[in-house]
Amino acid sequence: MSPAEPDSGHRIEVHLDEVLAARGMTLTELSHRVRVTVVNLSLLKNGHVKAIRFSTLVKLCEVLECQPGDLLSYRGPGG
Amino acid sequence: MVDDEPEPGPVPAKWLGLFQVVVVLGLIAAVPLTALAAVQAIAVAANAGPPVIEMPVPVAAEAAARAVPDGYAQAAVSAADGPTGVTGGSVAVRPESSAQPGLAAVTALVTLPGLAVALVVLVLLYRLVNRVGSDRDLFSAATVHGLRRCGGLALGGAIGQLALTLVCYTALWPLVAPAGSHPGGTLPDATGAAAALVVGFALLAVAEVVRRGARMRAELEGIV
Repeated sequence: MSPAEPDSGHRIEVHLDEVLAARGMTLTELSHRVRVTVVNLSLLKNGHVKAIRFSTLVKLCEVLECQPGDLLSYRGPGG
Repeated sequence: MVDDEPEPGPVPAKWLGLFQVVVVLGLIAAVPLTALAAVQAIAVAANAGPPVIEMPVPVAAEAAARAVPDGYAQAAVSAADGPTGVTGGSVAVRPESSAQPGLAAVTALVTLPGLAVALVVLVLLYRLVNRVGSDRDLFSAATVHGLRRCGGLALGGAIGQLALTLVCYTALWPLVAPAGSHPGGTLPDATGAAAALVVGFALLAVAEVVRRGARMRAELEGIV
């Protein structure tokens, strides 16, 4: 789990690594299937991106057969 | 940029190349023009001297009659002919004065700083365009800084030029020119300063556009 915006009061956490592990898929394979570079997927997995396009999210959900909520979660200031 | 969409292309080379050509042409024209204008300003001021003054002088009626063209002589002479046989006339005189070097200095003081600032702005703009062309990075803080510097310099130069002209018109000119002369025929008008004001504001406006573009690009960075 990685905070997307560590400086802000609220945080969006990315659970890409957990979903990948649950499906036994590697980041490289996902990269080929969603046509997003490994570098960018790695940045997304580690929470080093500021935003994600709906189109990217749709492709991730299609390939990983999951919902956006499986990939992302919100954690408030106290969480 | 963290993005898998097609990267926004480099700075469009076509218009940048055209702009480079325009700046280079401006420089090529400005350097000799500046030198020429400087020389001319000094030469004109040195040759202009004090103004011509019309002075009434008594002229013999016969001499006045000879000076009047055919067809006009009789009426002109008879109208002004007086009982003493002497009529009125005038002669253009230019009093000798040692003020010419002072006039040249005043004119140069007004002209040369503005030309020098214009040349500096062109050189800075040339370097800026070259750097943008080589870096292929228009929307950067360095571009904004360079444009603001050029714009500020143009505005400062324009304001300085106006102030210098005002000072020369009101304070310096009476010190070096004879009484009654007016600097309007010798000193430059404010057209150059007005153009510099427009250029300065335009450069600052472009700098603001580039700044906002750079900010938008920074916001886009980090998007997957």
